[in-house]
Amino acid sequence: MQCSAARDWLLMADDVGQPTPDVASHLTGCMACQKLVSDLTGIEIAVRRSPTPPSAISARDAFLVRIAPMPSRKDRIRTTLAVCGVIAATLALAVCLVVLVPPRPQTEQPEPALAQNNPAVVEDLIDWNLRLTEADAPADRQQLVRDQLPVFQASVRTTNLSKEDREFAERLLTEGRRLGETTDPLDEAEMFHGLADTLLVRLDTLASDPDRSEFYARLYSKVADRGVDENLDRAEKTSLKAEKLIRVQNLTKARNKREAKAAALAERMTGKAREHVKPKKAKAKGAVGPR
Amino acid sequence: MTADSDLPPFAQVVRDHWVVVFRLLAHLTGNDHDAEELTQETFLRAWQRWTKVQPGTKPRAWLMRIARNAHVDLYRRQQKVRFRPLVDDRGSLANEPSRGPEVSEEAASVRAALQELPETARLVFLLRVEGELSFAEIAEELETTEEAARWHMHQARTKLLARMTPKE
Repeated sequence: MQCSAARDWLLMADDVGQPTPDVASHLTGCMACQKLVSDLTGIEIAVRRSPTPPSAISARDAFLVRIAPMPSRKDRIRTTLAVCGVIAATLALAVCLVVLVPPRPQTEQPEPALAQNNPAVVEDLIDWNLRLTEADAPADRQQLVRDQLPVFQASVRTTNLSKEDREFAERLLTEGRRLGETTDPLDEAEMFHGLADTLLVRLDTLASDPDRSEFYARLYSKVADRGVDENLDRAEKTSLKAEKLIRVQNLTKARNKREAKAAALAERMTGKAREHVKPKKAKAKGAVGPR
Repeated sequence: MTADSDLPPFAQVVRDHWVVVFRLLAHLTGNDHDAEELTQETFLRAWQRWTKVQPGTKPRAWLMRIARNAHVDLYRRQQKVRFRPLVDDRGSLANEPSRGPEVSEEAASVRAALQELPETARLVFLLRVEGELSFAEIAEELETTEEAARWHMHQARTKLLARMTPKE
């Protein structure tokens, strides 16, 4: 087969990673056409990697609420009665407490304000995403999604979160749901790499705040180690087609670049945050450091 | 002619295809704001017609058609079909901190490259890559032949290669 024929086939192919026997045999001996495959694959990966803004996910959830069926009149009356009952019982209990319980001494500290940002749910969501990616059997993953997704959704809805934390939490809900449906370590390594990138950007803005940077540094370390590196290792151990090999190479490059940034950022940090963000030498593949 | 038992509930269709429709529209319009508006419009139209959908219809291809029509309608309303300036929000994408610097730069460059493609070539490329439709499905959507759809893909990939791969 001539290069021009192979080139035309590739440019019109359903999937450049699945060549016909003729094209595959031409590719084994033709560097130029191999490069074409690599470039075409790279372009499609770049298109698929372009991020979906969290606002699109929020808009979807709002739309789902909008189309949810309205409860019937009977249900509404039943709900109203139940709410009234709960209010009446609460009021009665409050009156009893005021009458029967003596007032406490004034020395106790006041309760912390409820409006405080509470990002612990973000860490819970990251741990859930990691448990999902580490579960080998699809049935286990589906179970984890069935059991925990509604709990986390409710938790995100009711917890006080900053705008950034809320967007990130919603992204983790979406990714968790997706992890329940697939078991491809390479896809998952790419997804976690995106999360690690976002956390690194967040850390960059918080480097001078030791408490908050320690929290996000811990999250970054979990995502980078267990989400990206371990999935990348798993992907490398499976037999990969040409397209996936190229994706592994691209991801390894991007990972090394991110770690170089993390190493530079770690220099501006102190204490535990620094330890979390600093790339571990043992896991680094290829040179890691500012280029 | 009502939504039959072989069709999923509409809420499931929203959950499964919202992001894909949004991404197609974001690449077609070149900006997230219009894409969000058009995605809402697409699913609203789909919701209104859902009870009349023929059993056996593939929801994704059907939604893509509604999305394309919504996109054409928007630009007709804005009289931008022929005189639309090149949209380039490289700056706004690249400066968006929550997306990560590498991803944002790459996304901005992808968006700019896609905006430079001829309309049909861009559509074929996006329906294949983002929508994951087969060339036969794309041909049906665009009322053309599978060969013509592949030819448009050839054009799109050739132009994207010239635009996005480094010269040696």
